[in-house]
Amino acid sequence: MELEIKNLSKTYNNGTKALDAISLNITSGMFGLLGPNGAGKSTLMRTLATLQKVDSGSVKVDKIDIFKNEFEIRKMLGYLPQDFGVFPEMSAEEMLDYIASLKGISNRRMRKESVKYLLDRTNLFNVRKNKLGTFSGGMKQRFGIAQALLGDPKIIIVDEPTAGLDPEERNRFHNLLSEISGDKIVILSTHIVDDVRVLCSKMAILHRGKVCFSGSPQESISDLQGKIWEKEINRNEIEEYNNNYKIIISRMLAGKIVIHVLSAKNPGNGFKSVTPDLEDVYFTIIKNGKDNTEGGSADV
Amino acid sequence: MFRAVFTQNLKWRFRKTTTYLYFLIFTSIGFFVMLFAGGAFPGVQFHFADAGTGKVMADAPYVLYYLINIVGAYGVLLTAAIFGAVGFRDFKENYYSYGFTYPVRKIPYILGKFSASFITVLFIFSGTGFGAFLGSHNHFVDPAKIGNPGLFSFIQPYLIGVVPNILFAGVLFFSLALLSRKIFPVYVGSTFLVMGYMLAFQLVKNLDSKTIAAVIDPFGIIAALEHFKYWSIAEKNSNLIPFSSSLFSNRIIWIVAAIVILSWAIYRFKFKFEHSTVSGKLNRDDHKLLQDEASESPGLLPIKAVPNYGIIADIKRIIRIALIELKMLTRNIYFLSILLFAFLFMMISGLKSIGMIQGTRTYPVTYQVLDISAGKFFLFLMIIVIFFAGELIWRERDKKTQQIFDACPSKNYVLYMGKTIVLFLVQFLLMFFIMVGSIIVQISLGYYHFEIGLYIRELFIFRLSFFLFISVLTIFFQVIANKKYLGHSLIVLYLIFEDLLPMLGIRNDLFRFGHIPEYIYSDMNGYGPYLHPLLVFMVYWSFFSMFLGVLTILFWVRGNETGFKFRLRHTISRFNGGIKKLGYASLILWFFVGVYIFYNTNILNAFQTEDDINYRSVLYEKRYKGFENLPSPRITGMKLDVSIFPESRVVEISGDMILKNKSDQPISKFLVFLNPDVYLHTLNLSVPNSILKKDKETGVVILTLNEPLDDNVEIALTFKARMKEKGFKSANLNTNLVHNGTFLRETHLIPMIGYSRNLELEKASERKSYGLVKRPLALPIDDPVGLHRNYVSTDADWIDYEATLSTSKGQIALTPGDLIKTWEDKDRRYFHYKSPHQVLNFICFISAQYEIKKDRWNDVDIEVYYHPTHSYNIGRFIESTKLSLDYFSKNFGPYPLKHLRIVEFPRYATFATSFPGLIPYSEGAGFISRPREGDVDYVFDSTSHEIAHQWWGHQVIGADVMGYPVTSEVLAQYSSMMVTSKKYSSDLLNEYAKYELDRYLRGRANEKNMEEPLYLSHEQGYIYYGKGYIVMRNLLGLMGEENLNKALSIFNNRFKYSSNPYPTSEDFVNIIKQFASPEIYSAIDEMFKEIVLWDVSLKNGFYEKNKDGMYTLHVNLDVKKTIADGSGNEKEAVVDDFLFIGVYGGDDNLISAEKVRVKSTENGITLLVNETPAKITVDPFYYLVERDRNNNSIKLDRKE
Repeated sequence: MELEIKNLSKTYNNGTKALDAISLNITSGMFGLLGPNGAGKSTLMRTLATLQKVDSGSVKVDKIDIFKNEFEIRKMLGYLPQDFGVFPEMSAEEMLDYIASLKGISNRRMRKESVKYLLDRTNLFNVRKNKLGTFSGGMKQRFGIAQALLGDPKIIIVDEPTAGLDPEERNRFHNLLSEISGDKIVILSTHIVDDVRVLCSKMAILHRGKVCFSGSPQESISDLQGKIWEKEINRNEIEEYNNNYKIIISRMLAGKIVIHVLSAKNPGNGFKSVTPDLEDVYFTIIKNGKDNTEGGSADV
Repeated sequence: MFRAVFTQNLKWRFRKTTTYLYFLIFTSIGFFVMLFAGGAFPGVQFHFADAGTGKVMADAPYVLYYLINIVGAYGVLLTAAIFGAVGFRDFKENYYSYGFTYPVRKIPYILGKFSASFITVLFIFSGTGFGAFLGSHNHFVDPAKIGNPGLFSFIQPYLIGVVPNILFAGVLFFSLALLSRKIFPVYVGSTFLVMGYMLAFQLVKNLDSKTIAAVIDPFGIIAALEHFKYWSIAEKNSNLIPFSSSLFSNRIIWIVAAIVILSWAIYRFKFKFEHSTVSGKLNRDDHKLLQDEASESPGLLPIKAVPNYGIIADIKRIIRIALIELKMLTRNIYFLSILLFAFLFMMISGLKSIGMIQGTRTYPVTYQVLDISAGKFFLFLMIIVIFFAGELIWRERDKKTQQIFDACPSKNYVLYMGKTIVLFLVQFLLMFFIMVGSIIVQISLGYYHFEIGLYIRELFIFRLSFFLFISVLTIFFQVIANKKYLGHSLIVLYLIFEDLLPMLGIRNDLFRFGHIPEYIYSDMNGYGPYLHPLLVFMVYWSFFSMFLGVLTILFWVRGNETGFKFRLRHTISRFNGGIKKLGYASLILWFFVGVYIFYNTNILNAFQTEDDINYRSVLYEKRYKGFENLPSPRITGMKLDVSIFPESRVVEISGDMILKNKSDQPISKFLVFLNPDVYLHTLNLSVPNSILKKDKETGVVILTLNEPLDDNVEIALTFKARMKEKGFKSANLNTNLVHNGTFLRETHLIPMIGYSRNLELEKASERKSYGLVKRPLALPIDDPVGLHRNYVSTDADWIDYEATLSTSKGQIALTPGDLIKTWEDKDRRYFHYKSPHQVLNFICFISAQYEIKKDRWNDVDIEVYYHPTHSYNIGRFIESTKLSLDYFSKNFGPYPLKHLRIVEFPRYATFATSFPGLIPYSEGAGFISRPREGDVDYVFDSTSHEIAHQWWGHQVIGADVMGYPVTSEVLAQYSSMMVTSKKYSSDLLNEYAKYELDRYLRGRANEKNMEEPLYLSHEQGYIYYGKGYIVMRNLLGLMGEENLNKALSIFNNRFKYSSNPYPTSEDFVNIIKQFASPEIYSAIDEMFKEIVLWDVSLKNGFYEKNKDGMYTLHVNLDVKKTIADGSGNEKEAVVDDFLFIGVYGGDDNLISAEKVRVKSTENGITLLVNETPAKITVDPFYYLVERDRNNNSIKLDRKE
């Protein structure tokens, strides 16, 4: 199975360029789409979910053009939108059953079985009779994944599924996602690096409508090998370091600030080398993008 | 703090353009009503609260009050929207989650918001008055229609009506929004208020509950209406609205209610975070859920679910969507509460008003019950369609689930069909609901003849169809508009627009979406001639709805890009395959059915509107008015052969007429007219002649005689004509010639000789718009031409009449006359009738299937011909007939015939009328009525009334001049009153009198031109029926039964079959006077020749017990008598009259009724009675025309 995205561009009426000549090849397995808020992730996801049209470019699934064959694509699609609601007066089972019938599972028995199976998989089996209106955020999110999985889809698109979940819920969610991938294409969009790190074998980083990176996380990390330096500094020193170094990450740690800088050689001054992780990759690319537009240069 | 909240909210409202738009709408309503009513557009027939066509000024205080308050009452929906929005605002914008943490105090917060809304709504509503002011102060309006009542007349309606109304409605909606923190209850609330209002209006129909309704009407309109119900034109033009006690208490009640509700809302309102919906913190339920969740999983295995996308699967999905939506709807509390309200409303109005005629109800036969229950339900059905179509279409988006559903592999048509079908299903269920409700009404009224078949046909076919079509249209608007409230507005605007179409001249149902022709169901004739057009129109709109459905599917909103332009682009790409075929097919079929309808309604039959029919009269008058003063021969005899073919709806008539020159001049040419819808085969005279002109447009033929016809010479005219229905019509259907219940008149089938002013256009305003000269409705009382003809036919006096009728085998055919012979030949049945004495040219031809009930009075055969299921009142008809024949023949003169037939006809018309020995009586007027103990028995009374016409009408007939109804209708009113008084109590007779008095007073209040005194009355039924009844009652009281009847018998004797000249009301008054004592001459003159209004009242009453055991009563009687002119300007008249005073005992029994003479406005009265008196009443028997009888009675106290 292959999803081939070619030169997708989309500009909204207000002038925002949401997608800027995006090209990606996605094959079976978990694919992470990483990017900050407003990078164009949701636009891309909605486009893949046939809910939106683009100005130019094409998307093909095993040579089927999705813009010309919306219906064919929908048959193999499972979609968890970024922000979705439920019918609060329905029970989880009832609504899943309803969606299942809309997805084409017309056999009543089969529908019941698969709804039950998915409720079990998403750990909602025991609350299946409860009104959706009473569900917590995490339960709702798991309900979302259950509905996306209905009808055994070949392509699963999950848009920012972990936003707003507590660590325990997120963990559960990760487990669930990794279980289902198998031979399917699962596209996960997120702005949380950890999600991708934990789940994905392939990824792309999207920024300002452009693909800044695509490949495997390992590849991206190996590119930065030996180029990330860390130092713990005081709070009042941050401005000084900002002027002198290319800080890609700065985070608070016990009242002090830990900074990562990108440099091909040892910057000295107490910096010590660290093994880069995906977060370094992500912020390096994001920062570079920003610098690019500001006219600065990066030496990666 | 109050100021901050107030100005902030006010600014918010006044920054919105809609505020100004609403103001503009209200202004233009006021403006245009004034322009139209003020005659700025000559030729436009416009009528608003008596203003417009009549003599009430466009800007009369009464009209302004009505206008501003009615607009305000409908504006309550706007009040709801604005107060609701302000109340709901902080919740909608989620502002409350942080805004409520600010240090704002509750009372200023609420009052600030409330006052801001109040000012906004008042500003918008002030538009009506402002517009009315502009509309009445400009040079477009006719100065004769503008009274310039002064600025206060524009302001007063606000002070009494609008301001308290906004206050109450505003408090209600504001509190609802504030406390529920939702907007939907506000809309439901406003709907309920309007409905409650309709209910109050419903209650008013019944006379007794008027005071209650006046007090509980939250808009105070009924209280005000109670005031001007008897106002004359002059009063309407000049009087401001009096602030009466009922209006005052009404206003106080609702202002207090407003204050109470607002205080309660302030008390209940809490500045806190109350959450009822999903996200956010966990509540107790959630904790329970989390525990549940943690329990063991059953460890199910994955299953391979095979999706299915074929047509069968699609149908299954459609059903599934419909069922799910239906389930959600039945869980919707608002839907259920509207339903409950609708049900109550249906029950109450059903039980209260089914078939009410003069306070007496009819049997609740199915069509009657359906008229009420389905009629009352109409608005609810509309609301449910509009509201819930919006909910259905927006269900996914309202709950933000649309992305999930849109990405599902279900085709747009599946989604569309699912939602449409559920809307259909709801209508279907509601129809079922109406059926159940109607049957419950029938059962509770003790009626057990359930016509389930009729219910099904009526509800599930004819009435349902319109709602199904409207459902399709509503969904279409929702999808095209793609904004819920815009969608609602569009459909409401469309419905209003479509309601106005007839006013704009578009009356053809072909161009009014979803409309099927108006129809009348009759027990006798079923759907009769309406059935065919109804079915064809349903097919026609079904195809168009299909086409709309295709459009809706093409524009169906799916995905994130919902702009109209975007959808328009993609519509084209969606237009292929099956949808394309269906689109074309439905459009083409729709077109062809349309052509078929058009061919039938506009080509085979001319599509006639009221205007078209008027236009014929206009042409007739314009072309042939010159013939009016030329002499023409008069009919003296008629022998007809009438073949009725009910199955094919054809009548063939041939006849011989004898014409005689009764003028003293020779006649060389004359005009013959026959209804142009009837085909005239031949028209021959027995003398050589030629046809000068044949005018097919108007139905006129002009004949010239080769030799002039001399005075007193007779000739014969033979004719042959045919009435036939071609194809079908959708308006002005021929309901006279039908499958069962044909009822044709001489004017339908028989040529009329000479020009007749009766065929001219009557209404003054219509005449003006066609440029015809003004003419009086009737000729002056001394008009020499009018005196020599009667008022029912211009071309004949008393004629010999003979006719042979034939009809199909199962039916009976009737016309006036003795039945000489009846026989059958093949599949036809023949009836030969011949009148034993001369009759008026006032004839009818009837044919239907009948059961016959026979009885006898002396040597007169009484026969009632009725529809088999309508046997309810046969006994009443016969009893009334016997008593009437008895009383009338004893007191007025012998009954000239050996038969009297009462014959039922379908309810296409609802009256009874009298032909010689033959009384057709509508199935809607008396055959199904059901008077109960204590009810006014109008079946008995009106039967007697019609029988009285056998004397007053068919023996004595008035001249064709003003006052003509006096010698027929007024005397028939008197005669039936006498017969009724022989059977019913005097209390019940008072009830009759109350109705007749009310009929008169209301009638004169609604008079648009000029009220005539009784002896000049002509077109106005309220005068000759209503006032006639009261005057004859007074005459009876003053003269006594014996004297009055003697006068009538002399009058009958003197003018029986007289024609040269015919009698007038003047002749009648003169004979009456001969039998009255001179001291009441002036009273008689006033009763007949003036418009007298009384105000009599009693005060300071007490009694003493005398030594001889008798009681002496003392009471002060105030008498005010005024004489009004035709417009209602009154001036006081000298009092010298006889009045009646009734004294009642403890249990309201009449002890004595005495005639007293009063000569002054203030009188001390002393009476002697022999029982303990408790109450005293002036005018106890309703002899006087009095508007306010509240102080006619007082209780008596004993004085030692």
